[in-house]
Order: sequence, then C-alpha cells, then structure tokens
Amino acid sequence: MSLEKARELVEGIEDLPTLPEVVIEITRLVENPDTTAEDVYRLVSTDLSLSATMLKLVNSAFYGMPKSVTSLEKAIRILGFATVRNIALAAFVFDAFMTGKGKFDYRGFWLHSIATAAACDIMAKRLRVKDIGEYFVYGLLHDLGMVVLMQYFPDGLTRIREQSMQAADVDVPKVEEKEMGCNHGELGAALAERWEFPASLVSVIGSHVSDEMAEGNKREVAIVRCAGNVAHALEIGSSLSFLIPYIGEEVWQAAGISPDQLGGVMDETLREMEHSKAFIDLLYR
Amino acid sequence: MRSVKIKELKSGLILARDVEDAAGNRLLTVGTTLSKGHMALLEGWRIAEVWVEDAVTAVAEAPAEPETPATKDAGEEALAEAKKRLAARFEGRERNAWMKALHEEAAKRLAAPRFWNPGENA
Ligand SMILES: [Fe+2]
Repeated sequence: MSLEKARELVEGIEDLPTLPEVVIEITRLVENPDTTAEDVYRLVSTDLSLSATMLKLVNSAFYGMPKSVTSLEKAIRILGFATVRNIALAAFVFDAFMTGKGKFDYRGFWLHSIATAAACDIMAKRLRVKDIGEYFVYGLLHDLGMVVLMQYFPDGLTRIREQSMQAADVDVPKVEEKEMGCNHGELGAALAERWEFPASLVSVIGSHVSDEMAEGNKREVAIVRCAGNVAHALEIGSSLSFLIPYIGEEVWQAAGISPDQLGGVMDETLREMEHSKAFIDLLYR
Repeated sequence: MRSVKIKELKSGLILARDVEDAAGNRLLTVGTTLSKGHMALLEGWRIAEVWVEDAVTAVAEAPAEPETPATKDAGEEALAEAKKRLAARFEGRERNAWMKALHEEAAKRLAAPRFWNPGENA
C-alpha cells in the first residue's frame, strides 16, 4: 500500500510544523454541539495573525460577502463553524508554507491553488451544494502533498520533474510512485491525517490524483479535479505538470458541469481572483 | 556553444546547457535534441533563450506553417497564439466535449487584453 509508505515518509520528517494550540482548540470547539459563536470568536481573537488571515480569506469574495466584513465575530456567524475550522486549517498551512525551503516556485504553486479554490467554489455554488465553504478549502489544500515534496523531499521532486518533462505522455503519479513509493495525493493525505484534519478533507486530498473515483466523495473529488484543470488552462500560477491532464467524461459529469458552462466558470474564476487581491497579496508581502 | 532566442530555434539543435525556470527548476537537460514539441514547451514556459551546441544534427524540417495573412487583426492573432500555446499543453487530450471546450474557452480568455495577471499587480 502506498498510503502506508506515505505515512512512513511523513513520520520521518523531523521539523514538521505542529498544529498550533488555537487551531486544535477550534477543531475541538466546532465538534462540540454546545459551542456558541461567542466561544469561537473568543478563541480565534486570541490569535492576531489567524484573525487577520481569516478576515482576508472571508473578504476575498470566496464566501460571497455582499460588503467587506470587518468584524471577526460577524464573519464567524456568517460562515458557520465547520467553515471557520477549515479556514483556520487553511490559514495555518498557508502561513506555514507560504514560502519555503528549496528552489521551488511557491508563489506559483499557491496561485494555482487559490485559482483552483476559486473554481471549486464557483462550481459548488452552481450546484447549490450545502457546504460551499468546504469546497474552497478542498481546492486550496488538495495539493498539500506537493508542499511536502517541495519542502522535505526536494531531490525526489527534482527527479520527478525531470522525468515528467522528458516526454509528452508521462504519467506523473506513476513517476512519483517510482521515486517516492507513493503519489503526492497519498503524501498529502498522510500529512492531513497526522494533523487530524477532517476526514472529508483527508479523503479529497488523497484521492484527487487517481482516476478511480472514490465512492464516498465522488462529487468533491470530481469538482477539485475539474477546477484544477480550469486553473491550469487559464495559466494561473504554476503546477508541476506543464501538460493539462485528461479528465474523462464521467468525472466532468460527476462535477455537475456541462461543456457549454465552462466559459462561464472561467469568467467567474477570473473575477474571483480579481476580488481576492487581499488574499493574493499575502503571497507578495 | 551559442545562445539562441526561442523564436530562432530549429529542430535538431542540441542543448548545451540545462534549461531552468526562474526558480531554478531544471526543465530540460543538457544534450537534449530539440524537437518542435520542445520548442512549443519552451515558449509555453516563457523561456527567452537557450544555449545550444554549434554543430547542428541533420533533422528533416517539418514544412513551414502557412504565413499569417496581413489582414488578420491583433485580436485574432492573440487568439491564434493562445490556442497554439495551449495546444502544446493539451497535446491532443481534447478527447471529449469538456476538454475541447476547456481548450477553446481558455484560449479566448488568455487572448483577452485585460487578462488578470497577478505578477503585474505585485
Ligand atoms: Fe494534484
């Protein structure tokens, strides 16, 4: 099992950032049915950097706020607890790995992730799914495994990139398996597990690479993959692969999008990117 | 060894140095014999020039592409260029209506003059 191998690799990382106490506390609070917005607010506001990142995220159009939200408490009420928890997780990962070790293009990587998140959000809104906020974070963190590679296995990643560029039809996840013993989806899932991320997030991160669609969260995975291709085709940021991956009919269908809707999704994605300047500026500060 | 602009590259030239992106990631390895596909990739990566060996290996050139009619307006030209650039990245993966639409619709947006570019805002 390559997930086993991924867990082993993650276990072996020595300087892995630990989840801050405040994020762990938020997770705990959110799982408790008696928690009030006041409780969450009191906790989040103890962490200035988290509060700031959260407000930037909230105001970055992703959550469709009619006006700029300046009050954290209001933001928490509007977003709901599950989303607050996910934003806290995303803010932590983003902060920890916004820039990093090695010679890789972190800015390009995150731009691609933000664009994927924007496209995810738009597709989910079009489908009127219940937990729209979740989709944004799925998009933002789906390539967590790439961060692990960039940060902790730069030589392996360099070899993967070299081999992936040599021919047109290289199956990148296969190359990853050959070099690392697992693909970047599994690597990301192993880290998400270790950080005790919500099960749905672990599962989306883990299975977005494979063509076989995981039964439990078909729609989530399909949307993340299709959104990734939208970001890819629009050349926003950079991802490992220069080539745009093929996505089969059944996956597009599971994402609930028809071919003639793609142009509209792209326009909305670009618009969301424009509105997300405050968030994107975090990358350029 | 000499440095050659991407637009002036020909198939059959051999890379004399690794090609790296701005972040230092190796994209192509020294010794690679350049093909049309490589050149499209290099354009897509926005590499300006590369180092090649002086000796040229003999490779039959593909017939030159037809010239762009002078009447074509800038918009059409930008669209054609965006389509071409994407074609190198799709490599014939437009095997269903979605992938086809993805290519065409993205090209239109990439060709639009006010395309969002975070690098410019920075
Ligand atoms: Fe990925």
